Amino acid sequence: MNGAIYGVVGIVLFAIGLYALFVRPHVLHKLIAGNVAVSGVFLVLLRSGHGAPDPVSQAMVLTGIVVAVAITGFAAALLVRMARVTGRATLGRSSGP
Amino acid sequence: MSDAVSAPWLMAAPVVLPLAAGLISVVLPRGRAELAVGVGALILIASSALLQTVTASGTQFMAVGGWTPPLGIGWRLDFIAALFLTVTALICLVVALFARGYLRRALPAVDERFWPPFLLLWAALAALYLSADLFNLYVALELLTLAAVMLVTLEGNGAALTGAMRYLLVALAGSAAYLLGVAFLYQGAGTLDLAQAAAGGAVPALAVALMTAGLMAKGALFPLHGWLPPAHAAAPAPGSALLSGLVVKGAFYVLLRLWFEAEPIAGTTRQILGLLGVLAIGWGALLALRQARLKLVVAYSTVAQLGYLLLIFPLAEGAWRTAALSGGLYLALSHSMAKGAMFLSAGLVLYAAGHDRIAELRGLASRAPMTLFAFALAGVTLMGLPPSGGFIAKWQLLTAALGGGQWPWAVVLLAGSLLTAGYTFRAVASTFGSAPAQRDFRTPPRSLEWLALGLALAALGIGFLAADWLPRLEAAFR
Amino acid sequence: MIVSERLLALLMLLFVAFAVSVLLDLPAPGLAAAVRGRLAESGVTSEVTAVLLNFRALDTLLEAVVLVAAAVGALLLAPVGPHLGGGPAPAPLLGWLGPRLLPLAAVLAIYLWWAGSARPGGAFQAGAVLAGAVLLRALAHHRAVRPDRLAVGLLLVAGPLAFLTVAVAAAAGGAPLLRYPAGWAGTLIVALEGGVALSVGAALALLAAGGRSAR
Repeated sequence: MNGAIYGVVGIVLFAIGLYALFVRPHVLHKLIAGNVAVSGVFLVLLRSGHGAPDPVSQAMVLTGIVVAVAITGFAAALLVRMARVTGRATLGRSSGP
Repeated sequence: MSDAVSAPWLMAAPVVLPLAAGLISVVLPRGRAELAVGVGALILIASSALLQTVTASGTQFMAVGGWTPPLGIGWRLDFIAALFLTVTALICLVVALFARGYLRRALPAVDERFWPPFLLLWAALAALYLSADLFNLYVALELLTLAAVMLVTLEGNGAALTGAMRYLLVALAGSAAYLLGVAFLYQGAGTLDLAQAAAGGAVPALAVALMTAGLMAKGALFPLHGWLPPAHAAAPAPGSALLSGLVVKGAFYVLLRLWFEAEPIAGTTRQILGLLGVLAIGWGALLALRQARLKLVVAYSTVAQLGYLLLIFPLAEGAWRTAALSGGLYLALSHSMAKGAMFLSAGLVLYAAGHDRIAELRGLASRAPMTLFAFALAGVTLMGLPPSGGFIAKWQLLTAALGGGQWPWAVVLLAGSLLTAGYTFRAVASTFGSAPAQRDFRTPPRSLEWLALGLALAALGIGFLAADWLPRLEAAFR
Repeated sequence: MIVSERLLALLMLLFVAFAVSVLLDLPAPGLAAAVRGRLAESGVTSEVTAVLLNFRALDTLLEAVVLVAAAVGALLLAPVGPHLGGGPAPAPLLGWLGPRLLPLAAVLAIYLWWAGSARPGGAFQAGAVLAGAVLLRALAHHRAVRPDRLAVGLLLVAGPLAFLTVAVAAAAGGAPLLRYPAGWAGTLIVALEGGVALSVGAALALLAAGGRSAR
């Protein structure tokens, strides 16, 4: 049972996050959804190690958190700028996803 | 054959140099362009030296920090990595020289903000080519994506910002999927080193599927390609050259390493990937034919050309495996140079005409013949005409297709070339004739035209080197 | 591509079921044993810090660069450069607390940085605390704070550049990249973490300030 709960919840969060990222029109919602998805992945990563903590997994998650924060921070700045210039916080139509 | 690298500083140079220069350029008030060009020349020299080393001594390994995998991160320099490093260095150096002149004249507001992301993008690519560690590749991919998105935002208008945002969001989804795949693989194989995981034989298919999905999103492979045309068209011309030429290839490079070192999934999945490639070729080319703006034509052309790369998967079966792989890599390298040249030429068209609307370019050919010639020459490589690198690559792929009895793919390869010819000719032909009286074009700077032409010629020239390089590529995959 | 939302939800559901079944079968041995085996040579006593700053230090270096790049990206977006604060008049509590929190946060950050060798802590945690305190103080001010561009730039890149210098210094002597000289690992790790902490703090603060134009 050790670790299984992390894995299951992680995958569920990943799926929810990814779904919302595609479906929600407002960019801020998409960003938050992306963070939820990535948090799910972190949970899955932490499952390693037969119940005993695995330092490499933890290091990966720490690195991943910083990278996610960096990208989210930049995306938020981009969103503010985009909203100011285009007057919209949604992406509008395109020829693909 | 495999050796601990004899000159670790040389192996690290293609990563360390642009990384340091990129960081320094953030605080440098003036002279960023000169720094980039100077460092770029050094990187090209170092990469060529590495190519020599690998040719002479075989594949080299470096345990970063002195710790061997699985505890530490392993770097691997084989012929493929060395070749990609060198071609990337060449393209980046040409783009740097071009951007130095072009931005000052055409987009002065962009000029000083181009260089930090440019250098960091280069460093990310180099780290990506060398790394054999899947998590290290994740971080390198993130740096690559970030720098690339920054390039898209440079012009600051609505299209640029929206295009950048869409790119960033797709990349974010791709990162999540890729990382989940890494998590699965790590928990299945107990290591993050790709070679070790493959040797252990315990790579879960779902891990590969997730990583593939993530990499396809970052590499704009059909059907996750929609973000590419608006983003690449909105970036300034030297940025677009890097984005279409190199950034999407980076994701594809990782995908190729993953599939052909880990040997994961059965034939049907490969056929599906091939089918997606066909759709990319058709969809991209047809849309390219319909675009009103030159940069969008070139961007959709990228979508189509990336489809060719997907054809490697079904073709790399059995005896034809190495032929298809070497052909595919040759195609990637030729396309990088040709597409770079195409975007640089498109930038010059934009400079000359003040816009890139195809319908209103009549008469440009007589004012800027060299620019249009560079564009057309780049198209020759994309069409796969001899003696270009594109021709060699398609020849390899055709051989693999016909030899392996998979002739439908051969038909696709040939039909694709026709479509490529179609949109290239449409673009170039629109500039012929005499300009109406009220239209005035600026003459593009001769030095910049030479740079675009040089890159297009390099794409042709790579075809002549095939006799030496193809066997080495094939050997690297055995 | 217009994908029906219900179809996507169904696909996700199927994916979750499939992925969970695959995941629960995976052995997930982890690398704890390997880390513990070489911990003594790493120069620190915390296993996670050993992985982050020694065994897999390249990841940490690239990660610091990613964070700095993001901050630079946010800076490039703002047409007039970064500015912190300058919003409506702060609530009384914030106005009182903001300036006083900064020295406390500095002490906490120093502790976190120092303790990172033996306990959870280290560069990123210290940097995050610093950034939080800087932002709170800026929010407490009615007028915007416009940091000097050069100073901010130097703060941002100093950490990763120092890291890079150490990485290359080893390689110049024939050793692989990022190999710490014998006996120096512990000291170097703490020093590099300090530099990275400052860069991280600056980067995070800038990310919160970026994208805005002065009004």
